[in-house]
Amino acid sequence: MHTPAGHEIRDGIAYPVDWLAIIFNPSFPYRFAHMFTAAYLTTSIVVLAVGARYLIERRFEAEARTMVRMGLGMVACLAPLQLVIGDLHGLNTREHQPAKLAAMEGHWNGDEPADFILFAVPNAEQTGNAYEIKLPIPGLASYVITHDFEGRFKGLNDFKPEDRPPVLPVFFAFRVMVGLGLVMIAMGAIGAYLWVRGRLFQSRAYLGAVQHTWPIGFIAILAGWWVTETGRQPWLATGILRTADAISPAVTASAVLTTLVLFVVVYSIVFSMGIYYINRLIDKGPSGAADKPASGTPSRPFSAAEEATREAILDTR
Amino acid sequence: MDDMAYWLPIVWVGILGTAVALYVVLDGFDLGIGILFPFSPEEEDRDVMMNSVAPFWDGNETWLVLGGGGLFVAFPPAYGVIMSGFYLPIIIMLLALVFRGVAFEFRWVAKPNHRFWDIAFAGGSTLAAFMQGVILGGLLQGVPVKDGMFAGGMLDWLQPFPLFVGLATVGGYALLGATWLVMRTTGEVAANAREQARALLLAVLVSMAIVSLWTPFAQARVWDLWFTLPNFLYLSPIPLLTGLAAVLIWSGLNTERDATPFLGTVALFLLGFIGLAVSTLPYLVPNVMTIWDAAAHPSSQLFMLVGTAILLPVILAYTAFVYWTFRGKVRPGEGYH
Repeated sequence: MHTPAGHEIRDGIAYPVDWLAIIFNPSFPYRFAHMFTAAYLTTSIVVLAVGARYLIERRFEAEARTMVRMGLGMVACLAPLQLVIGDLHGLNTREHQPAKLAAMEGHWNGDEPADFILFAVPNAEQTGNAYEIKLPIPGLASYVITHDFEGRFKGLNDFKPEDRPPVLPVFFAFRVMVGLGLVMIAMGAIGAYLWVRGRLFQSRAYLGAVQHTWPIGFIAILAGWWVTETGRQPWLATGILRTADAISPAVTASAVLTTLVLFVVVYSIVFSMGIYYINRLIDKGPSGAADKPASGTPSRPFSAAEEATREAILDTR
Repeated sequence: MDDMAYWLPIVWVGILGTAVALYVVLDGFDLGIGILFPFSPEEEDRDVMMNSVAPFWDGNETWLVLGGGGLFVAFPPAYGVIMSGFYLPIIIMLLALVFRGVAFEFRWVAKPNHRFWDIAFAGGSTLAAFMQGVILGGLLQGVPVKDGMFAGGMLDWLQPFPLFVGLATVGGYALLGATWLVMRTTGEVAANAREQARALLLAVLVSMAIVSLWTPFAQARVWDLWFTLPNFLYLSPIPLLTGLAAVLIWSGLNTERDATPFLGTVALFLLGFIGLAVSTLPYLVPNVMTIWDAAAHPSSQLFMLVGTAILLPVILAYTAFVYWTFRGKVRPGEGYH
């Protein structure tokens, strides 16, 4: 949908021509690798953060050391790797969805090299930034994207206003994602350094900070999806079908609004309860489960997790 | 007509029919457990009831995904009409399934404060079953289509016949659930279920009779199909076997053959499904869109068929394996690990 391939349009309908080209479309490998790594990274950070929390509270210390080692090992490797994959993904976006990339960088004038913008607000006429804070290295964004300080890439003014994505959400969501990615790299690097020096489990400053990082993977993933899905607007299928042309004519706006409200209500209930219960499970810790099997509970994901924890802990003893 | 363009839609409607039939029977019994929840107030009984379906329920719901996904891929115009016409019932059904699905997890971690999740499980199951029946009833009644698109209102399904089929579906799933409990549990839970199954069987038979009579009276095409010679003779095994299944269920409930009522109910559902298929085919959206009108391009259908031909046997095999692994009776205080 972002980089459609392998089809031909006849009478306004897309027909498949080459199924392998459809599946292995130009952005597929980058998206797949980026999301796959993100999932592992997010889980590793949760494991690391919960382990750090136990160490700070001096509970389940044997288990917590295993958790911190496992989580940190993954974060130290995957966070820098994710930066490289993300960079490659960006180069792919430049080629296939240049308007999205321009919105991510807040870059308007494609005739000039782009500076690295930390913070910006587009002006009301949507022709440039009314306010911006840049890094004092000229052409740094051009260097990141074209690997040349004098490099050029398309700016938002190269696109007709109706072909531009909404700039503000794409620009800020991208900064949230990248910012959290840099935090992850720092967490991994500092942790690895402490580990090598043999001070990992003694550094209360490091563990104390890391224990609060459990949600950053989730937030980064959401921000990333925000970038890619808002950034591909106004297209549903890039260059083929506009979102505005894709709505179901029979489904009324009030019906869509009703279900949207219902989705928000249901997900708010389910997610807030879920987070509450997960926190309770974390508070309870692995102690009971490690010693005796739970009884009277059916086969379900949580019980599988309890069992896996129990086995892992019995192995380490 | 091109051979592929003729045969592929037939193959696909067979796959979709299989998926929907499997979904109705399999998710039917675990939704039925939720529908019966309010009638078993004891916590221990509820634990047993939930445990009896815990290893299966999420696997059962995969057939809904195959049904919906297959419809989208193989028959996109029909998907467009059905999903637009039943937009609200479908979304409500999905949200209800969310509630009863997480109840399987949250009810156990919430204990002893699990009352909310009991309600979510029972309410979600009942609402999902009801909405599925509403969609079926609405389809049987017919949806207005213009230029290949749904041309009715968002609340068209709020009519007596769809709402009646909704209630009938709740009763039918409850019967599947009750006979499942007769087969898979012991003691008080099984004894209650045996009582409930008797009443539910009568209700289901009456509902099936009403739907079977209403459809031909409302639609001349269906009347001609069933009540003209020689069709009447060819099709007569369907109602006769339905009667036989009902007798089997009843006698099974009065003896100690614990599996008979459930198997009889499955047969009852499959016969009902065959009856509906006979009345509807070759239409996918009754009276307006046949499987050939709605078919996607043959190359799309063929490509997805290759994937389905590989994956469907795998899914069937592991489903059978799961049911075999967790065979036998569930006892109080005992859970699967």
